[in-house]
Amino acid sequence: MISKEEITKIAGLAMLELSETEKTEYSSQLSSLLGYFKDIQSLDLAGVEPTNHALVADNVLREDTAAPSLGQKTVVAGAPATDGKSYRVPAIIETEEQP
Amino acid sequence: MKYEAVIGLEVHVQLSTNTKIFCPCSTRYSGNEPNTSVCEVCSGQPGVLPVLNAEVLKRAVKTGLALNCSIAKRTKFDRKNYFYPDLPKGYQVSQFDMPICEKGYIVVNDGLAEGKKDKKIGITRIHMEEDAGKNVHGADGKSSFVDYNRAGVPLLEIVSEPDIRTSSEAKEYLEKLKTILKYIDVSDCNMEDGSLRCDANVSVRPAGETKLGTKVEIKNMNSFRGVQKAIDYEIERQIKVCESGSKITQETRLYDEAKAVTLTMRKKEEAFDYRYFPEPDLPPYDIAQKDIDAIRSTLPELPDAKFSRYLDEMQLSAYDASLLAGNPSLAAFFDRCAAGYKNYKAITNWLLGDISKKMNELGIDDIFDARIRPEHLLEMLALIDNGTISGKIAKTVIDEIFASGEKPAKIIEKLGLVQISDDSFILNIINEVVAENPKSISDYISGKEAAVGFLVGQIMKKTRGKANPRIVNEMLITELAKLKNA
Ligand SMILES: [Zn+2]
Repeated sequence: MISKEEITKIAGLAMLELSETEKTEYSSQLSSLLGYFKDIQSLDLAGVEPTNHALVADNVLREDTAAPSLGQKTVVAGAPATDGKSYRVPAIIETEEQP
Repeated sequence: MKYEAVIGLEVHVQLSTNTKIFCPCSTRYSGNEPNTSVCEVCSGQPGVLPVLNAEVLKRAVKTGLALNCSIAKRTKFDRKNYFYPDLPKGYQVSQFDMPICEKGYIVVNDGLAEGKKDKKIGITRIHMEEDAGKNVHGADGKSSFVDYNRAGVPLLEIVSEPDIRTSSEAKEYLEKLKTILKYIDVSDCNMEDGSLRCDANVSVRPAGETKLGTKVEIKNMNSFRGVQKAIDYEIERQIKVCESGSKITQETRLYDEAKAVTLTMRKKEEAFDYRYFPEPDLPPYDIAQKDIDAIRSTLPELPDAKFSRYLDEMQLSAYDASLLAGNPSLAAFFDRCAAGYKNYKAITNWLLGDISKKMNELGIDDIFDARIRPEHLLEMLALIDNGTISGKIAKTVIDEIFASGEKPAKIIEKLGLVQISDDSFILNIINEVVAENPKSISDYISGKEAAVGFLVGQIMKKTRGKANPRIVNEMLITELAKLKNA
């Protein structure tokens, strides 16, 4: 069972704001999802390589040759706020003033 | 109580490829407007498909081989999830449990020339990842501005074992790492430009204790000297905390270069829960042994091998050998000269003496950015050996090579620098000087040998340094002997 506290933490990491009702709802939904993995874990998988990828195409590479980019105007057009050149975001403060 | 520091370094180097790691945007955006080298892939638009740059994989393997690592047979990418404005996708594509290289080492010889011993610093792992964008803080203090040109530039993260014990050993490790990376030509390795960045994990423990203390991560150091000073500050700070009976808090601190202190980073503890999972958009990569062998065959002679060769086969001093081997360009210049001239000590003296001095004066870091070429030095050395010019005049020739890039023979002709070895000409000058300095002559006759030096100086002055000093000396002694016995 995934607790409401865990749901709150996961939501925080994903920057999601959830109502109390949603937390209760997701707690039971995620619990049943994890229950499914418990079923898989009961299988004897000794000697089976873990699958970390569903694609069969390995070693896909490209040459190191440059191609044109989108251009500044197009790039910042998607920004929530801009000065016309960059994305504008709330000020980022990195340190606390205590040695 | 005596304390011991335990230090591990995490170094990020930007690979100097033409394009970004997963898209064809150019990495040569320096000096361009913000957000001009950005596409759908590196700005993280929905539905795009990243494709790994083959050159990144090749350079990662090359770096691993040069740092004595084992190369993974199979490697994959993972998503490292966190939110920060410079990270357009909300995750960084990195490598978690299957990095490209593991278990290598770098040999440092902190002051080898002074007879100290070699020490191996282990390398835990090297992995490939993408760089983030750049935040510029707004003047009003209310906004920051994000430029995504750097987002998606290929990085290698090189993680050391906690084998480092002092700040000077840390500096030595970084210098050696930088030298090796420059030799194999994978990165510009410029800390000021941010193409090499270093974070340090520092903890202290009572000397003799084998258990590790609580570690603190230090970020934001912008020079090797900064790394050294930040580590020194942090060691001292942690010892003070321990001695006051308090506990060290596990945290990330930022180095403030201007104040030379480390400060607590404002970030919540849970923000470091990265929830890595395999990157579904990039397939895994198998590295074939034949490809590893092919890359290994492109490795140049590395600094340790070069140092030994200079020391053992060329009989250079340990000091000279380490200066040359520690500078890839200077070493390449030296090797090209040494292929055509056997007096290695003479080449070294000119390179590390007058030529290095001249480069310092002109602010030239890389000898191949100067106008002097190995052919110039070889021609000049031959002209000294056959007596055409003196070592003193050669200094003027060096200045002129740096200024005009002309060949020594041409410079000598142009400036009339040919050394005078003509006996009758020199004899005339000797006679003039003898006539003008009766006091020195009588000093000499009365036994004051020092007078010879003064007279030679006068002769060289009259010939503006162009007389062959060996011939001047011999002829002057002969003439003085005649006067003494007369
Ligand atoms: Zn791009």
